[in-house]
Amino acid sequence: MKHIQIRKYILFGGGILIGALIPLVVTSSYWLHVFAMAYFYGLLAATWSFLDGYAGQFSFGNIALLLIAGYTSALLAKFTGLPFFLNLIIGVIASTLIGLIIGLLCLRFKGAYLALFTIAFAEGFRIIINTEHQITRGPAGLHADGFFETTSQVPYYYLIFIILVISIFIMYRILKSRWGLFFMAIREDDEVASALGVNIVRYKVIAFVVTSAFCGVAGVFYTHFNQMLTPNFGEIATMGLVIGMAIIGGVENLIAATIGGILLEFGLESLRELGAWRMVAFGAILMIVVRFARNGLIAPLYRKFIGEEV
Amino acid sequence: MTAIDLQIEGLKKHFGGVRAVDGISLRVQGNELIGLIGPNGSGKTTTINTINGLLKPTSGAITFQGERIEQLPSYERARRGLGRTFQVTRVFHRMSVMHNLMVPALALAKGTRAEVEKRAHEVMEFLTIQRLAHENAQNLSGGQQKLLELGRVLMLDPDVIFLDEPFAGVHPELSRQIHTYIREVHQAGKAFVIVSHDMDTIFGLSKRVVVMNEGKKIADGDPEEVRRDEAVIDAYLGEASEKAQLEEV
Amino acid sequence: MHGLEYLFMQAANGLVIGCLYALMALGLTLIFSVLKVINFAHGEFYMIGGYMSYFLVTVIGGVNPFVGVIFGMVVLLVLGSTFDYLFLRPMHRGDVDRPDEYAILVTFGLSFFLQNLVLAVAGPFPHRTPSFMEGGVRVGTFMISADRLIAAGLALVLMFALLMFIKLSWTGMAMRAVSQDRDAASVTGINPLRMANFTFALGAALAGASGALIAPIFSVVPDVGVLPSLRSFIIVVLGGMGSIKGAILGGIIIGLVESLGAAFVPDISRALAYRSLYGLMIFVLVLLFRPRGLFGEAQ
Repeated sequence: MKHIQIRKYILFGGGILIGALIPLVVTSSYWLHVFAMAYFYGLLAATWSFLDGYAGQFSFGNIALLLIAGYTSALLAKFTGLPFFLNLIIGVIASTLIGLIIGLLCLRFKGAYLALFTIAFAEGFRIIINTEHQITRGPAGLHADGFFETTSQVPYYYLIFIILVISIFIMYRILKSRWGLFFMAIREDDEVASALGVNIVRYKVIAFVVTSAFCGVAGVFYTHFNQMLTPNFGEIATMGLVIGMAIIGGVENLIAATIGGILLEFGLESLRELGAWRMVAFGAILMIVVRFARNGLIAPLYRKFIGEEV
Repeated sequence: MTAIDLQIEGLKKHFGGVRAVDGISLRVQGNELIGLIGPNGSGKTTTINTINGLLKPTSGAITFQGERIEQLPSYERARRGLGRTFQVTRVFHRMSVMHNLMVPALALAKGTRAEVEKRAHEVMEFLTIQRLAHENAQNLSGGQQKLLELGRVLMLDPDVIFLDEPFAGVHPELSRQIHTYIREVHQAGKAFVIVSHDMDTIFGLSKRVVVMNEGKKIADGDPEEVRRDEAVIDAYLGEASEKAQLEEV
Repeated sequence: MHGLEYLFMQAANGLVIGCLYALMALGLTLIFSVLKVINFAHGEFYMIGGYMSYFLVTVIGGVNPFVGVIFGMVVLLVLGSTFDYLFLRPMHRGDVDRPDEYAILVTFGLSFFLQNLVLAVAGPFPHRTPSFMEGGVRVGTFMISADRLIAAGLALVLMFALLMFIKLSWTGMAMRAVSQDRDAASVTGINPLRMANFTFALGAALAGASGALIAPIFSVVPDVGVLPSLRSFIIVVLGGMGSIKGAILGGIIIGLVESLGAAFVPDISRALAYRSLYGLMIFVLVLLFRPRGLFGEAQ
């Protein structure tokens, strides 16, 4: 087992080191922005891997939860005089609480019904945000202050990078603990897990709550990075992108899903000139990966390098 | 340790018009080893499903160690000491044998992770499957999966263990091994309720046999008495003669 | 025009559009009934039906819109059959882990693919097919356009034909057999793989027909299928998964709810924007309190 640990340290340590050094090499504002978005999508892909890949809950709600946190933070800034940092925290709390409620409601659903219920939630939320434009500015978009005074992308790069590393670390530790085993047992067969003493109610809800918290964190980052929030971001297409990234990376492997998100967002940005054809390719790759390489494209490479599962 | 006491009174489970379990009463006291037999469709598996919590009863009471449990979810019943295996094995396919075994013990917080791992190794040795520790459960043969299910329920360390067709579809050598394991665990103080079609094994293993037919209990007692009980013979012959009649037609 | 007259007009429109919703939902429920798959690309089948009709009638030209509808259906029969063969067959064979999730992912991937393919090829701008017939029918003080009536009428004809087909034909019986018990059906000589393929193609064609019939009324854009897709889920859950009469009744109900719901909210701009929300609320309520819907099986 020792050599697995060493290889992991090499991979993670190397990754963090490279990530920390990139802004010294890449000076283009545009590309730093791309990196930041790539890390952002990597985080989202990780949250989806956590909830579906490990706990088996196929939810379309992640982006909606992200927007809940973002809109809460931005609206608090717009309508109250609360300190910036407090807005962020309340935003994350909001998404976590809603995630808790969704998780409780979803206890009775499985498979496609859970997917449909969460689609209804996500769509309903999007419609409301869109319609109540007096408050939210609807499709025109809600403005939000940036984190930093500067126009440079460098601090934002490091901010999301640190958020990503810490979030992945936390999620990884949770999944490696006994909670991770409970999640997987629930994914495999929740009736049997229950018959073996796993409190499936508690752990399904925990899975939703943890996911929602990180979606909230991603949400407040996105809001004050982009400095603009629109309900369009909450269309099913965005969720589809995140799901696709996690699947293509390898949904049952947190690290692979994260890397998948980062690389795919990078790839999509790099091929911007191709316009809609990028998404055509993305959709095709998703179908092909699901059909022929269900474990994803990155996960087998990761496993080969590390020498173990998960 | 308090003596085992599981009491099922007037248990019924109806699915619309189908009365799968139609008023069965049963008491398990101390470390009994009870065989539960009956023709196909007599309601044996449904009874287990209702006792263990997979299904909620239509009516009736289940009392375990003095506590009414029929409205509790499965995991609460497992925590209190009721374990079961499944007729068609339901191992956690994409988890390793080791992880399969660790889940119930960790769920019940039976020690630190290292202690649970150690216990899992012991159980694997007991069942002679230790070399499969890191295999994914779906890669195991049918017989090995049956052993894994048994091991998993042992890791739960329950007081009463319901085995649903532990010998079904298993070759004779393995069947005998399972027979031995059950004996050993029984001697260590656990109660067993074993559903099986394998009459010889059941009659050889248990001192008490309960017979079900059409959702009701029709006999309960010594294997020899049960064997000679008219109602039992009727139930089985009834099934046999129905088959014979169909063949004639 | 106010009060009762307005309500009647809304109700009439709701009934008419409800027939088209029902047609599309029928396709979805058939797919679920036989394949046990919830097709997340159903909206895109609808969308392609509209675009194919537009393509044939406007781009190629010289054909009347009714042929466009047939063309749309044929294209979808081929597309549906091909997709099922390439991507769903392993699932039917039992070669797939977590089959429920597989079906969602692969149909969702298809939806993503088709939407963007049409966007890339045809661009984001709306297109309209020519009317079936100009003018309309006057009822009291208001008018229902001929297009809507024809579309609804044809939808009813198609649904009726389908019901007859399922009830009376050999294939229809085979479909019903597979939907009830796949293994039992295969023992009697029915090939479940072929039935699945046929049903998926048929379901796709029904969605395509719905799209092609509506194309003269509402323009087509690449994401025109997103809302109808969600609406079809709502209808099928409301009616009961796999239930034909549920899909038809559900379609009419949702059509009415969307049209009349707007009439009951005082603020006009909100009322229209919230139209889809009424259906979503019904959806959530059904899922929470009666998941089997009106005519579905108990779970």
